[in-house]
Amino acid sequence: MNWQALLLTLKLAAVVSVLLLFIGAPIAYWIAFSRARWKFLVESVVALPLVLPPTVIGFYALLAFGPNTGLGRFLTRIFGHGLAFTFEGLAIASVLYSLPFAVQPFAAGFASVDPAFVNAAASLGAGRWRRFWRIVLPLSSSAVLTGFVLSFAHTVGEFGVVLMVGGNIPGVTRTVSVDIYDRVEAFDFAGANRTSVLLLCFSFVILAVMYGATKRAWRMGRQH
Amino acid sequence: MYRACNSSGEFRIFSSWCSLSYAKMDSVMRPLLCAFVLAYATLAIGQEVRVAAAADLAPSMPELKQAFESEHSGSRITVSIGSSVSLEMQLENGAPFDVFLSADVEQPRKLINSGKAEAGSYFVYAQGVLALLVPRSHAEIWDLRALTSGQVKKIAIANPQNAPYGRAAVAALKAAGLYDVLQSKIVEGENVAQAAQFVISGNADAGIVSLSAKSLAKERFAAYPVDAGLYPPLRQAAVLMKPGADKPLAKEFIDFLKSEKGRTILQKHGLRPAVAAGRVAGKRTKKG
Repeated sequence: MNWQALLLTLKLAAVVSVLLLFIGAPIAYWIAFSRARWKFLVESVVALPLVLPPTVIGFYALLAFGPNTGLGRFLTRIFGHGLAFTFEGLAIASVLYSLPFAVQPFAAGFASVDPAFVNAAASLGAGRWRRFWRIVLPLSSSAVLTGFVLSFAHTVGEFGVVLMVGGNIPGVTRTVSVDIYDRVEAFDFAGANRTSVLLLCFSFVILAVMYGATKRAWRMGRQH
Repeated sequence: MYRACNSSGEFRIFSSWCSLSYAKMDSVMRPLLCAFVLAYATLAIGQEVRVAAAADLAPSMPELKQAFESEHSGSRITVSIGSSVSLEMQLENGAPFDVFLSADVEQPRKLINSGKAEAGSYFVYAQGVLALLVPRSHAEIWDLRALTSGQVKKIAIANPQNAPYGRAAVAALKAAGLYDVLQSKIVEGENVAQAAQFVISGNADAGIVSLSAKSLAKERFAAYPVDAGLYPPLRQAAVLMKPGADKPLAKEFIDFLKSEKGRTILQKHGLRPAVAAGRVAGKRTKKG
């Protein structure tokens, strides 16, 4: 078992899912409540990583991190070093890669809040910020949790992007999925199997807990 | 999973976007997919030779393919590029290829031993050259020792577990006594072409890759062969896979690598002619 790769993966997933909480929520709020005609365009952009091969994200990330593009030079100046083969670079690419897994549940949750509550709060003088914190967020908390857990789990399962911009550095970018790949290539089936079984169980438990929890939350809501 | 669970309220939030997009995609994709499969099947019936090639051949394969196809009208070469070990792994598990061009001799031998490849077809087609690939802007870097310079932050090599060139790069660094010093700068590509691409895209400052990568790079890059005494020779063998055994064209493609024309193309892209001392079991007479 490669504990270093496992810990690194958990760290990456935690960083990415927390970042997505802060990046995804405003986007989701806008998608849920905006009446802009071109909203569908933003929704499409957010959903792109669901459809795009990770190689496309990896390819553009590599260009964006390198010194041959303006964006790459800009990012290099901000971070003080090139982003390829670094944890920060991996985190940024992963945020893009898991974006829809956070934003879409968030947006669906926000949109499902009964507008009567929001309007009532507005008529009582609550501003947009207060309405969000006191009405929208509490009423869609399980959707937010769903988005958080999904983006965490999706980042754990990331492979193609890591392979393309990671550089396979132990403790920095060698995540558990790449570690499994390396073991399979090295015919270390026993080692690959140990890690794979762990990931299989982890993924199942996460999904089971999430499905179970959201179902219970719904039942409790109905009894009241 | 997507469609079954749309009854519970909160859950619908998460499942609705899945099921919607999934259903839509299904209705569009299925006929498309069928069309593609049909089109592909019709094409594949002709004279197709499926070649699995080590990544150091990435620059020479298009030219080899073109030259062979123009000599054999109606033939079609399809090429899959990968690291030798991962290709061997796929072939071991029944990947449908007719010819395997490895970057070492071990992987083809393994395939012969496991009965997946034709023993008589084994043949060393070239000798690989390990090279230091650097942007010309780093004029002071032309040998391994210079990689210790503070200017060099990342050095790309192929994954030593999967790729013969990765093994050779590590061997050369160790032989030069530089491995411990440089280890923290090393980043690994899945195969030697990816390692070269890390350099060409500017994300790594230097690469210890195949000399053949030079033809992938533009004029802005220089490639300096690494002292051949520092690493075990990179003898590269080709082998005919069992699915290709009854395809005359597959055999002819291997023969083409032995021909003057084939060897010229390989040499043009940074591969040296194979040393004759290699085991050339069942060598066929060259076609006229």
